[in-house]
Amino acid sequence: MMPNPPLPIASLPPIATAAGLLLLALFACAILDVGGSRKGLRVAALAGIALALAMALALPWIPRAAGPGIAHLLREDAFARLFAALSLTVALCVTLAAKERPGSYTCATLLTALGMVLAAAAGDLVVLYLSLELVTLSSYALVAYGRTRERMEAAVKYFVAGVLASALMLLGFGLLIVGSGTSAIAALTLAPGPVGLLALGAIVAGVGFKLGVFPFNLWMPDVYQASDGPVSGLLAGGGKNAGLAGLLRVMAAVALGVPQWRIAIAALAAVTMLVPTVTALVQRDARRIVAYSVVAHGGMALMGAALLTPLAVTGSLALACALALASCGAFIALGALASHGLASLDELRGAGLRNPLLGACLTLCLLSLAGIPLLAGFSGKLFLFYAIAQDGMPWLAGLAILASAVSLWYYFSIIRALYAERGSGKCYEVGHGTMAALLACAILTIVLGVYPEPLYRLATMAAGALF
Amino acid sequence: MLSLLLAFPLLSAALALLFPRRARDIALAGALALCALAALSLWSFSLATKGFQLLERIAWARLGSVEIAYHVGVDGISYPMVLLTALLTLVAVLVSRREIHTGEAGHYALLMALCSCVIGVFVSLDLVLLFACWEAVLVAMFFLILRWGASNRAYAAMKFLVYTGIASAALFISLVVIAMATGSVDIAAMDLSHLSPALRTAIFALLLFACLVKMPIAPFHTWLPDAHVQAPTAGSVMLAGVLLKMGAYLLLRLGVGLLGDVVAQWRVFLFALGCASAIYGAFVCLAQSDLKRMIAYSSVHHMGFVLAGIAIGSSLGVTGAAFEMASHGIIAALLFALAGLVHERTGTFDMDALRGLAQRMPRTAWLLALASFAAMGLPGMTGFVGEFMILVAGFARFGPLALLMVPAVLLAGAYVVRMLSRVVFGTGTLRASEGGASPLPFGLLAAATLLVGIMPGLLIGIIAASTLT
Repeated sequence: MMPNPPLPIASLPPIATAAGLLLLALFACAILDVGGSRKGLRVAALAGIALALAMALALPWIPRAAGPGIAHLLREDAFARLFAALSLTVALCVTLAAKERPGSYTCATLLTALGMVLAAAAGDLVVLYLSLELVTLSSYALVAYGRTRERMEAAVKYFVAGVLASALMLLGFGLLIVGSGTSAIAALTLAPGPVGLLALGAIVAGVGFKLGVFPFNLWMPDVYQASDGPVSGLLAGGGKNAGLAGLLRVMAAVALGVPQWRIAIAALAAVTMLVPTVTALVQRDARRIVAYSVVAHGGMALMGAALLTPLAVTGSLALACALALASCGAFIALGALASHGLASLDELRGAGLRNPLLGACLTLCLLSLAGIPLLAGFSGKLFLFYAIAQDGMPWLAGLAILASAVSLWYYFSIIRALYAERGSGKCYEVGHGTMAALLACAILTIVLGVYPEPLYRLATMAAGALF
Repeated sequence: MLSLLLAFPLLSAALALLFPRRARDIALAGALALCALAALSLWSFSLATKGFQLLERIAWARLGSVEIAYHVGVDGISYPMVLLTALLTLVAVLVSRREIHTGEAGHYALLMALCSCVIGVFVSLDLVLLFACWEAVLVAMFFLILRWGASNRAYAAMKFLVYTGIASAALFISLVVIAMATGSVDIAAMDLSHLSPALRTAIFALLLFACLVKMPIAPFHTWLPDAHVQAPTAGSVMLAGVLLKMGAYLLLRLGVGLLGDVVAQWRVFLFALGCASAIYGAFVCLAQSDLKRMIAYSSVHHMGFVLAGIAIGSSLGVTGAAFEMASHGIIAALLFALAGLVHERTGTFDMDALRGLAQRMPRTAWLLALASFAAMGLPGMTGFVGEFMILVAGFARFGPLALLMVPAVLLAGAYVVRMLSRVVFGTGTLRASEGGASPLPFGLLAAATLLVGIMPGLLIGIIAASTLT
């Protein structure tokens, strides 16, 4: 008897299919937007992202199909899958929360998500560059959404910094391509001497712009503070991690044999996590505080790129995934509060008591960012700090623990504002979509905190795919 | 068994949130069930077992090669603390019924969750699990103070958070170091004896710092009076009764248990520090005019004795320290519960304003006298037994150096008599009545004070199962 032919779905390469589904949803949304069907548009967008997410997540249980002819451009590995799952989860939450926004907003979200999925899967420098640009360009539009003075200003800052970063990235990629005679990431070699150093430096700066590597992170607090809540959530939860994914891919290919880079990146990571941590202490705007903390967490994730050992990279990935949901949720909630005129710590007084469910979800997200145990943030930090200390940089892990301990102060000053007193403000309502997105973030945060094993396993598999 | 003790309060916390209107009854039922379970567990606890018992272990997650497990068990040192937590949770729920009127569901849910996490600290045999519970306790107490505390609660909550947060960071670092050096976080199977002396000293120093802040020992104690004075009565009962013991417990479990030789090296220093803290705490008590603040500082005094007992390190000293932990838990809870009642009826903690309490609230006043005498270490009550064991062990170990403890003991008498003479006796213009207050929480604690004081063998038997060599 002939063996059963494999299911048709099994022969689909997951990342390419997920990207295709996103594109399909994008076209559907664009058509529905012109047709004026808001509800249909939302359904199409949510369905597209959900299907793509299912595709990315279901892969371990589906036998791997041989990729089509583009396998060298798009890597269908565990690393790409982890980031695809992460980006799409964040995009799903963001789309849920952005219920009242126009169709173009949803389309831009889809485009950003597509860029994030492709960036993590890129097997070629050109694909990596294009997909990171896709993320950046589509999020310029999102940042400017609403066209208030603040947002326009933030979008311009983001744009100027982004153009500079793109130029640097191009320079670095160009030097690498010239030096190694190919643009395939796996075959890259670093030219010895100053050219190689320049290339690597330009890449760390250009790709690090997305991750928020010091000093290319000055735009971040302004943009995160001014943008619409879901947009900040998308950038902090997804866009930042697209940068991390790209950086790790390139670094794993070229920097493994360059030991002097370890100390440089480690120093960069230390500065990136310490400076914003201290700066956040004196801020009075809740979103700005969380923005600085997101930058600091980018620095922590960079520690894995400094060591480039499987364990350390696993830690970085675990941290990035664990905190993506929490920062996305925190920005969505704080954005919803800010749209009611509650932005600074003084204005937020008692806000948690006047809408208990929103307050509880926001508090959970903040606690997770602070690294309180039994929440996802702790799972990530525990693994990362242990891995960094274990693999040879205990001093760096010590600095990270210090930064983490100091950060308790500012997270808890937000929580203190939310609950300390009833405040004089009136009650406020937030939409069902926002609440659903927040609940999703909070529940996932708890689940991955109480049972971190799936997170650890996926991160280990993803890190394994890099080396 | 232990998992049930952990799960029951959590379950009632969840139920309290789901049915906010019945929250206080759900919490009471949960606390009663917890006490019943704790009493039942007495039958399964074997006095003949020296090591850990009632073990349960489930694999949880892997950090590289380090295996994290949900691993719980008790021995003679932790088991009394578990029983104490169950008792004090019941008391805390009972005293909350008259005091808490806003956000009841949240309050009871936090209180029950706190109870679960405290038990978690005492029964964890996995460092990561222990740290998780340790931090969760901190967060739950932060919210209890922040939301239901007195007028300066936000300041007190943040101060509590900062101090204990720094302590937690030290504990976390030592956790990572231990995991790196031994490749294991299993407390029951841990062996640190093959590590280099420098590393052992470093681990101990970090642990010691975390514990000294938590206990607290002067000069790391300044968060305590603020937290206590601002916390609601239930918060104070839990804080003084069991949260402070977490520090001492950790010092016993990881310090004496795993790094005994480092403790031995630091013995004289730790003993002197404990005595100094006890003397300092007593002097500060003498200077207080606020009843609740004085009770708070008396905790510094007593935890100083506990540290001295731990430092002595002989089996009598350690038994005494463990006994003193349990006994101070009962006494401090009684004192705070009484102070809460007095404040509810009179609206003040000021000792001068409270003059003549015995005329207006005689039963409360006599209970206050009883609790104070117990705190002073009067024979026949629990306070005496622990201090006596520590004194005897101290003289056996240190000889004349142990004379340091004498002023601490005497000063305890002084501040107690001063407080009683001002508050309970004398005549004043106080207007208050004590009608309508439920006698149950106070009766339970007073009975425990006398019972353990008259028959200390009950408790010593449990403790000695693990401490006797």
